[in-house]
Formats: sequence, C-alpha cells, structure tokens
Amino acid sequence: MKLLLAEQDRDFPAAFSALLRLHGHQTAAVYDGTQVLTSLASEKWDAALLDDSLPRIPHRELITAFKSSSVPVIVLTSKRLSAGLLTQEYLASAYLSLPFLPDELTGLLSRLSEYRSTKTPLVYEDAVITPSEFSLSGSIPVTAGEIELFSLLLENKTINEKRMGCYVFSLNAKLARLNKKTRIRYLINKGYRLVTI
Amino acid sequence: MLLLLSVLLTVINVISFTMAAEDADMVTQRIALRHGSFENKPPAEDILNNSSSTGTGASDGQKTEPRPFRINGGFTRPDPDSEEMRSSMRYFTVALSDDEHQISELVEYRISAVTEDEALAWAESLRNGSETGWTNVSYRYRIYDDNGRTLVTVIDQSRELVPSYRILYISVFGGLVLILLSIPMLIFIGKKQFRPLEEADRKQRQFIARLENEFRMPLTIINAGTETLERTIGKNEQTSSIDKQVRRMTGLVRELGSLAVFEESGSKTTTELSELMTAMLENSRSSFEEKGLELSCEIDPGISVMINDYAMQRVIKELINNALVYSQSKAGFSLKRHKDRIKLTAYNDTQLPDGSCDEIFDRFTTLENARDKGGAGLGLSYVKDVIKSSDGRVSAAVRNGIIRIVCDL
Repeated sequence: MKLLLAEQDRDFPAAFSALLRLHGHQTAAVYDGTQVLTSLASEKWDAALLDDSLPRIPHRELITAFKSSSVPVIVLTSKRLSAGLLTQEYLASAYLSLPFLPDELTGLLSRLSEYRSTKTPLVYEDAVITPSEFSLSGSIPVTAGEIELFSLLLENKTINEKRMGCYVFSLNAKLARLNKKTRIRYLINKGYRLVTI
Repeated sequence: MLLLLSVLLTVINVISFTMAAEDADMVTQRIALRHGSFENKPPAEDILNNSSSTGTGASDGQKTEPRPFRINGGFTRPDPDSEEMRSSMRYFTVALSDDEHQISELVEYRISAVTEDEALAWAESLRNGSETGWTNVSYRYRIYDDNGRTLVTVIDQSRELVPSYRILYISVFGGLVLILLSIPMLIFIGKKQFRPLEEADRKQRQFIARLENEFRMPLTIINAGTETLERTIGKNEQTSSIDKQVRRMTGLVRELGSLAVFEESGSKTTTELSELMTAMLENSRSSFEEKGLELSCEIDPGISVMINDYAMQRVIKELINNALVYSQSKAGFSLKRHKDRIKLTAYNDTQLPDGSCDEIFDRFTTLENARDKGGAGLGLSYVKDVIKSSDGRVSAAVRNGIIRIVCDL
C-alpha cells in the first residue's frame, strides 16, 4: 500500500517508515496540515496515518479532504477510544489510540485494504454496513473497528470486550440514531450477539 | 454537638415534668391527710409538723389573719397549705365502696370541668391503678386508705403543667430550628474539610493522566523500533528483553487509560447482576479447575442494579482474575440482597495477616503476596471507581486466613 504518514513528531515517521517498508508498504512523511493537503492533491494514496492535532489546518478539514479524495484515514490519537469519539460528526475510517503495537497497525492496514475491496454489504435484519464505503445504511459513517465488530457478530464469534467494548456502544448508538431495530446485546452464556428489539 | 443539645433538652424536660408530678403529689398528700378535703382539719401531728416547718400553724379551725401568698422551699415549689393554693385547687374525692353493688360516695367536689357522675365513674376506673399517677393527661390522682375507707382524690393540674409544656414546646421547636440551621452549616464545613482531599485526588488523577500522555508516543516509537530491529538483524536476547518490557509498559499505560473509560462509555442501565455474575463465573470455572482451585458461588437470584453494564462486567472480571491469581487453594463469590443494599463479596484464602487492607484499592498498590505475580495494581482500583460511581462502597479485610473484598451497592 502507498501510505501517507502525517505526524508532527518526526521520530514517528522515521520509526514506522522502516517497519512499514519491511511489510511491503511504500511511505511518505508530512509534518503539518498544509503538507497533507498538498500531498493529497498531487499524489494518489491508498491510506493515510493522521495525527489528530496536526498544526496549521484544523483536523475536521483534513478529515473532509481525505473523505472527498476517498482515501481511508487512520487517526492516531492520545485520547481513549470511546463511544463519544466514535460517534462524532467528522469520523475517520479508523482510530488508533497511542500507544499501540506494530502488529495492531499492520493488522488494521490489512483490514482497511480488505474492506475497501469488499463490495458485498454486511446485513443483519434492518442493519446494513457497506465496508467499501465505511457506512451504515449508506448514511452514517462507521469505523473499521465497527465493521470488524459487526462481521464478528454476524459469524457469532467471541468479542474481546477490552478491545471492542467501545465499538459496541458506538454502533448501538448509531443504530438507535437511525431507528433501526437491530442492537448488540450481552446475552448470558453467549456473550455479545446481534438481536432485534 | 446536636446530640449533646438533645440530651440537655431531654434532661431539662424530664426534670420539669418530674417536679410537676412531685408538686401534684404533695397536694394530693395534703388532701389525703385531711380525709379527702381541704376543708377538713389536718391531724394534730401534721399541724405540729407544718407549724415547725412553715412557722404559721394555720388551719381552718383557727381564726387567724389570712396568710399572704408565700413560696415554700424557695422558688422551686409552691406552698400547698397556702390559702391561695387551697382556694384555687380544682379537685374531687370519692370514697369507693367495698362492695361493687353499692354506689361510691362523693366526699368532696370542687371542680367544674367534670360532672358529679363523671367524677364517680372516673374514680371507679382508677380503683385498680397504682397508688398515685397521671390520668387523662393533666389530672393527678391518689388512692389511699382513710379510716377503713378507700378514697380516690383527683386534682386538675392542667394550669400547673402549662410551664412544663411550654418548656417542651420551646425545646422541640428550638431543636428543630437548630437542626435546620445547622444542616447548611454542616454541609459548608464538610465541604471545606473535604476540599483539600478532593483537590489532592484531582491533582493525582491529573498527574497520572499527564504522565500517561507523555508515555504514549515514545512507547509507540520504541515498539516500532524494536520490531524493525528484530526483523532486520533477527531476534536476540536484547531485542526480546526490550520487546517484553515495552509491551509491559504499553499494557500499563493502556490500563491507566481504561480506568476512566466507564465514565465516558454509555449511561447506567438496569443490569441483571445475578445472571451476569452466574454466567461469568460459570465461564471461568474451568480456569479455576485448571489451577486446582476450589470455587464456591452463592448467588441470590433476581438481583438487578442500575449501573453501566460494560463497567460492571469488567468489575466482575477483575474480581475473578484477582481470585485466579492470588488464591492459595480456594475462592468464592457471593451476591446477596440486604434490605435495599446489594452485597457482592469475593473471597479467597491468603497468607496475609489478619486486618483491614483497603489499600489494595489504591492505584499501583500490590500487597506483600502479590509482588511476584506481575500485577500493576490497577484492577481493584477500577473496581473501586466503578462501585463508587454508583454511590457504593468497597472494603477489603483478612480474617482467619481469608481475604474478603466486599462491594456494597
């Protein structure tokens, strides 16, 4: 994948460029918002890693720019992943809370690549997630974490509460906002499951 | 302070009513000595006693100058022999018949609030009572033997009791006013007292949050650097050691971050605690068996609680993990309802000495037996934060080699 690393801490691209190259990716580093917009206009990117407090251009504008260029963006944040963060208006394709392990980033990049090429929607009753568009019912944006959670639930697989608990809350909130009947509930002896209310 | 005031007011009122009763008893005694009526002559010895004690020797048989009103015994007690007292006394005396078929006789009747028939019936109703006492709230009576007859004298003390009742009303009203006034004062003082503690707690949280933030980027970069090194020069003892330590630090920083997650994620809902706990304990039963630990569960059915369900799951998980790591040979969990409270208890055997050990709920605190288990001392701190967020309490104590962690919800 051709990746744009947008992070004001210059040690970050230095450390991750080497690692990501070893994983077969191409990388380029930028350090402020203006450089991000220039890079977006001049080159085509498969995905980007974006610092959530990059100088010069507001974060919202950068997210909008990535969305209009159809470039999936992973936001690197010092904030904890919470339902509040994952239900905000200007939503990125994925969020990685610092500190993270390298395989979490590489795993996420693989999933992003997979979702971009998945045209078949994920469906449970009245809830439809289109992975290639990162959207719920074509109207509300969802993150890679929520897509992963939804597909695991469709396969009745066990959910890691510690890692995915926040996505349970955010996806439930989005389903409620759309007045869908589908919800995620914790069922005794079964764990988290998709149910119709 | 309020308790002291209550005791003082109670004592004052008890003394006031006791003195009123003693005054009334003294009057009924005087009437008894005069065979049921103030109009009769007192016995000779009483006259003598009375003369020596008061210096007047007044009686109805002697035509002496009317005595001026005076106070016997200083300001504490009125003189029952004074003309004023005798003329203003409202009372009646009834001679009770020995045979219940005979009608009792009214010996003296100087009261307008009670009819003669009522007086007779009233006296009859007191026949089996104690020698002296209160009747109909403000009437004092005495039953006594007078030359073979049983007399009952009832005196109206309603006027005499007015000061005592006034003291009582003032005490109650004053006490209530004082309580109402002291509540905002106590809240103000309490807030002032706890402000430094709250401030210290806030600063500690702020410091930890800053520290946690400062570690985030360096740890991410070290993680990436270590993996790059391992992939380029190959794994060796040094890179493995760095990787192990940096992963541990990453876990610690994440754990710190998760401490506040429950505050942000979702609102409180009705959580079926009995079902949740039973399910989670059953799911982890195999883990206890693998470790050779005996697991006991006592869960009352149908207990639910208003709490963030995700946070509550983590609480139970932390308690289970704690028992799995620190139990010697057995562990147990109980969930009981005590009136309007819910008590969740986790216990296991331990080598720790007897005593309270609430410090295990402090962040980064591990007890003597836990130093080699690798815990960061954050799990039970999370438990405390969640339970406190629902106005609950947590406590921990060791007794007879068993440590009990109690969550009172």
